[in-house]
Amino acid sequence: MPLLLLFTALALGAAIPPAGLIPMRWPASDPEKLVALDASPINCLLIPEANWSNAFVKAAHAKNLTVLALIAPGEPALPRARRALDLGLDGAVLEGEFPDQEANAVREALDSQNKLTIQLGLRGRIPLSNDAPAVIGTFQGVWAGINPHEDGEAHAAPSGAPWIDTNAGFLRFIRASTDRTFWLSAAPPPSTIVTASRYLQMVSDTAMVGARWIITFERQFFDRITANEPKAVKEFNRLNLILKFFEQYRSLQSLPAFGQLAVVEDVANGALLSGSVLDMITVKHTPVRPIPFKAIDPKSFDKATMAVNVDPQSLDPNQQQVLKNFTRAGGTVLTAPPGWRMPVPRPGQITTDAEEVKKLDQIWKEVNAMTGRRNLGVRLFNVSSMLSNMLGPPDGSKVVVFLVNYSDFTVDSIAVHLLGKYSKVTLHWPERPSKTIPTYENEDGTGVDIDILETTAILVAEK
Amino acid sequence: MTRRDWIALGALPLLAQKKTLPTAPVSVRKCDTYDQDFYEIFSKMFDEIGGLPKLVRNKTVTIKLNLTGSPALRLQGKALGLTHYTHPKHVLAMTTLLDRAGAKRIRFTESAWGTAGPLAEYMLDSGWNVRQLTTAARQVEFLNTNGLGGHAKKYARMKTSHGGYIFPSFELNDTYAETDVMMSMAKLKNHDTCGITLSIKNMFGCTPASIYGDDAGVDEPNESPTQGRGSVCHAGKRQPAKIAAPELDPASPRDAFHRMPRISIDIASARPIDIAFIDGIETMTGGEGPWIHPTKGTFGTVGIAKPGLLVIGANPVTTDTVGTALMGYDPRATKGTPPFHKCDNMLLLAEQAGLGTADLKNIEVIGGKIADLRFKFPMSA
Repeated sequence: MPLLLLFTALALGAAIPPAGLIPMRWPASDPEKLVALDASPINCLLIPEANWSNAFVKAAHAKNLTVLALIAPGEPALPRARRALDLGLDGAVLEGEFPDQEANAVREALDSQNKLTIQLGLRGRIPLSNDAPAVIGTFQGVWAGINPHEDGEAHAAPSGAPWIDTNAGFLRFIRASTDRTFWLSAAPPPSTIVTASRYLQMVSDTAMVGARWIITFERQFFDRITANEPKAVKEFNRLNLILKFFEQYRSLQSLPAFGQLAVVEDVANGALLSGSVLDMITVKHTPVRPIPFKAIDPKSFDKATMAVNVDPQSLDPNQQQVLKNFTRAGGTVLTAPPGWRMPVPRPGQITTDAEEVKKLDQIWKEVNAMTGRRNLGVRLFNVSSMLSNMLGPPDGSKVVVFLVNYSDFTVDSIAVHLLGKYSKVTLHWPERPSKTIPTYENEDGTGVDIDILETTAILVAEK
Repeated sequence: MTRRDWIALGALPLLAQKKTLPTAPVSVRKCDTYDQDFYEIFSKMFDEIGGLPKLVRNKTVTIKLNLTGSPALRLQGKALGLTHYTHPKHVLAMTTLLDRAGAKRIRFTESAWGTAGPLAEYMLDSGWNVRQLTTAARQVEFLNTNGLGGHAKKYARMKTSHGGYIFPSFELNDTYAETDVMMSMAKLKNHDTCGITLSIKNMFGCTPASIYGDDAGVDEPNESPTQGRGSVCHAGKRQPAKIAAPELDPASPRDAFHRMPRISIDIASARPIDIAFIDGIETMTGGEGPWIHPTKGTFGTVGIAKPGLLVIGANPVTTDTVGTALMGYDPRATKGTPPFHKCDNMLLLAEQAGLGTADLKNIEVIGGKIADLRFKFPMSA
């Protein structure tokens, strides 16, 4: 554990280090309602200001829960943070756009009392440097899943699958840029019926790329859970099962991205936008390794055979040389056409806009042609309602494929074609015991079939 | 539709009666689930229509599957074979049966939606166990006929036997010309444009998008098609790539309800069907695929149904006629009466083309009575 993180963990004085916190927005003040969490792995509550009370904090601490004050922009943050500490809360979460000076003042004040500060700011201002805090995040999450569009229906035509909104693309970039714990805030869309499976999808959407969604329920659903209504409790237990599952395999989430396709991009050219190049590649189930500019070195291209250079004009001479060497060694680099440049994301921008999508189309066709039907690590079949993430140690001794189902329906008969020979493939899933699944040889190397997948699964293939 | 077309079509039943039209028995079965021994069931059904071995021994059998629309599109999340695709269990049983009946080679074909990539991968994307299918017979091939597909060297010009309603001939993947026995494995479904889609309409998927697609080349085929065939076939907004014969009458109505029933018959005439199979165990109603709008389609509804029916015949017109009757419709209904409330009746057009009789009185139905087995599809009587 890096020293800074260790210090933060010790300074917090809590039993649970920041990396182990499983956060949930808790909109109730009645301590009695905490009984709903007795069988849940959720261990960190974010409390809106109106509900701060010492009695609640004491009750939560008695259940080993970390309690953080949720502070929204408005009145000066520092006095509010101090009040939270006076009431016994364990730290503060600044959610929204705060002036640097104000946020820093809160952080200093809380640090001095060994309390945790987590800032969920603009995507474009997420700290990705080596001195970033233990937990970073944004309030600008996307509500993941197959979302209805303006006409009230999901995109559908004989031509293809519905588009899956996901946070996976920009979170891959975050994961490639920093090892800090990442929290994502995203609330269910208003005036929409949210099925319980959508919450599972949000947890999985972030967990497959090593991040945590701040669990946020519709108020009505929350009230039903805390009122111990059997159907709501049953659905909450499903969520708890998924949370426990990802905690059990947390170490796998920290493995680096694996695959033969690298995408060289950075914050200035859209790496933190949803719907950008990384999401487009994600939807194609092509394994991809984002390479932030600061990480460009010969090692970062090890085992890659193709690279997409989104904004070559922004690379310095050394970085350009690394890419030249990559092509000289046999790699293929797809470079955006001369003059092509993604506009610098606007403050507050979360997703690519229509103009940017049009611009992306210019290089997307080339990316599509370059990757084609090639196996760049894994090919997945019958996964139109799913997204995946391939990870693995650089030595290639094993690969891990996270699979997430974004439909409300069980998916059956998934074929997985892994590039290379693997002797053992194990499937982990929340709803069933892990099992070794039979492999077969195919033209790519190793094939396995997954008979059924309900919500999510992790496939581990070992050489 | 012109006045002349209207009069001609109205007179079809009468004209058809005057000719001796081909007929063949049709075997029907009540079958409520996919958990059945289909090898046994199909064997008996084939025995009832004259036996399979004499038809397929030492022959190349091409099975035109119905894999319409992208595999990514599901109706209510159901497996594709339960709503609008040929069911893989049927295909597996049929393959084994054909192999044991002596078929030399079994080829699965479809012009897969928006791609000229390998059909086997398209089937994997549809959730099929391709490996199991591959080992079910001595020689099994999967051919995407949306273009040459890397397996055919050329296109074959296949002429209609009746001169053609819209096209005099079709430029198809050579696989269809190299076929000894053509089987159409269809689903018992409505069709938004044609009213019904059974074994005959299934053959529309033989046309390569490389030539008949919206992004087909003007002169030469586009071997990387990514579009459907709406412009050339449904709407008649453009002609196929010049490698193919153009339409007979570019001044004919540019109306899908006029064109598609006729084009379907043209194709079934150019590449005759030897075995027609219709799966109506589980299916969808109100349209041919999940992209049909649930309320704005021509049937005004889309749903899932379990008619629990299987139909096999050696003549596609007699088989589809029985299929139409089993859906609760009058197979001889004229335009304006469901399921042909918007379009011309392709069964009557098939009669007029001399492909077979659409008159139930002239069709021997074996295995059950239509009246007992009928399942009411939308807008049926």
